[in-house]
Amino acid sequence: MSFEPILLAPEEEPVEVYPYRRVWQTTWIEVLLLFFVVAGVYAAAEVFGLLPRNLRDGNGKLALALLPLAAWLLISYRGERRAPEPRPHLLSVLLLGALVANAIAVPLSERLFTPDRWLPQQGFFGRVLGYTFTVSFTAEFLKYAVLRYTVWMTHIHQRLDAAAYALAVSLGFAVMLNVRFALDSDATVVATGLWVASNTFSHLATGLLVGFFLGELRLTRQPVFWMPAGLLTAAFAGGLYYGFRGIAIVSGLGIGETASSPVRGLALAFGLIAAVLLSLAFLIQSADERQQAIASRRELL
Amino acid sequence: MNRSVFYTEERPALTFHQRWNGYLSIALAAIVLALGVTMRDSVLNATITVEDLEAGVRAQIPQGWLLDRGSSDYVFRAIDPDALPFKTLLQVSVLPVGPDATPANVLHQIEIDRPQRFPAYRVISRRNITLRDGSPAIRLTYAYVESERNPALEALPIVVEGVDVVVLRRTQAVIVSYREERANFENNLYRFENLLNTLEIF
Repeated sequence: MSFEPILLAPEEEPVEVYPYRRVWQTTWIEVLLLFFVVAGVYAAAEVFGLLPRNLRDGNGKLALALLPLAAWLLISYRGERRAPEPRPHLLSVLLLGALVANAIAVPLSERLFTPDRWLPQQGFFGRVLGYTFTVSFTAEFLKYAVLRYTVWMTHIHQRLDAAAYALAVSLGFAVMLNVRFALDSDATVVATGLWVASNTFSHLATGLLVGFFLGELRLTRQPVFWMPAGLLTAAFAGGLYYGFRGIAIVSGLGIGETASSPVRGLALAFGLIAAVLLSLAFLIQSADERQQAIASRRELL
Repeated sequence: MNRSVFYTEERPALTFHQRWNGYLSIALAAIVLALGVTMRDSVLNATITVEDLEAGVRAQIPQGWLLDRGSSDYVFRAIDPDALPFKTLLQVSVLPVGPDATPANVLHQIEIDRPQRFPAYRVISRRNITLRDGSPAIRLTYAYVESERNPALEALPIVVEGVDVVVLRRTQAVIVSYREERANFENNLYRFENLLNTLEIF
């Protein structure tokens, strides 16, 4: 004679495994890593005197330029490979981002738009609009074109997919500009680090906006001017960042302070990427929850 | 059933809204970039009017250039402060001349004076032209070498190309000049042509 065992504890419910890489977590780690490395290099040179201020070591500059890519490969890409359902073609999208930056954006900027010749003389609004309509819009349109004509139709199945691909193409774009700056300019290691962080953060932030609009266009019904509005929004965000960066670096509130302060530029860039990451995480989560609620209500009916 | 090794993933068809979003994005790119280039051109080619009532000269020079009127050698001189390594120069000067003088006489005087002031001075061309208002003038193109005066900067000498246009008005000769580094001479020549076209002698 046998008895069924009496269970004193409730049965364990199977935990649902999240099958994708968590985009926001990995991106935050990469952003914080870059921020702290650059801030550390700045502090080592300017505060503690551990590095010479005018150090112009080519290898150091190149290492800083490639740091965002290395962090992405080690954290995001490795995480993606380990996920049960990895997003395909992320690396290809990143390489395409780098290629369009080098083949289209840089020649357009250097030969046609030449922003250094006319934008710095403009007032705040002139700088914002001038940058928005030239360099910024070109960058956002190229990121859009890479995503729209490669992975958009076949590989964006949820909103976070769009964010992951947008981050990849933006990172490729930014890293190419970083490398060119490190190799071509006569800047010091500290200045290169600050430029790399600022450039990378701003491209990630504006690229994420393009990705958000692309994701919504793929998954929901949007008006015909949705994507143009998205491109203008992202380009304008880039223009605003350019305008405020000039103010942040040059202006100061202290008495007798006349020298520029690049740290404020770094703080502004970090603030931009942090604001965009938090806002989009909130927007995407609420949109997903709303969609889920509507779907479950339909099932009940 | 045989299945091809290579197969493509099913691509869902685009909706009307998605398709038009694509078209409008491309159209917007064309419009915005045209707007950007127009903005850039309007800033780079913006001019201001410079007038000297005593010399009787009025002309337009690029906005943002440094204007110098503080010399007896010229009526005014405009210099591009951002140009490197040579500061692009536009200049209008006036020389008193006799009633029988011709532009060629004035040019001859200039050509005697120049080699003493400019190292390696060479005349490239000399030709008669007619200005927009129908006045006869002479256009002289020349080149010389400009060296950095501060030896500590260890800069290479620069080849400078210049143009002078000489035109007579009553008892004075007006000389309109343009000087630029050889490599950028053609690119900025339009600024000189603009100065010449807007020049009024009264």
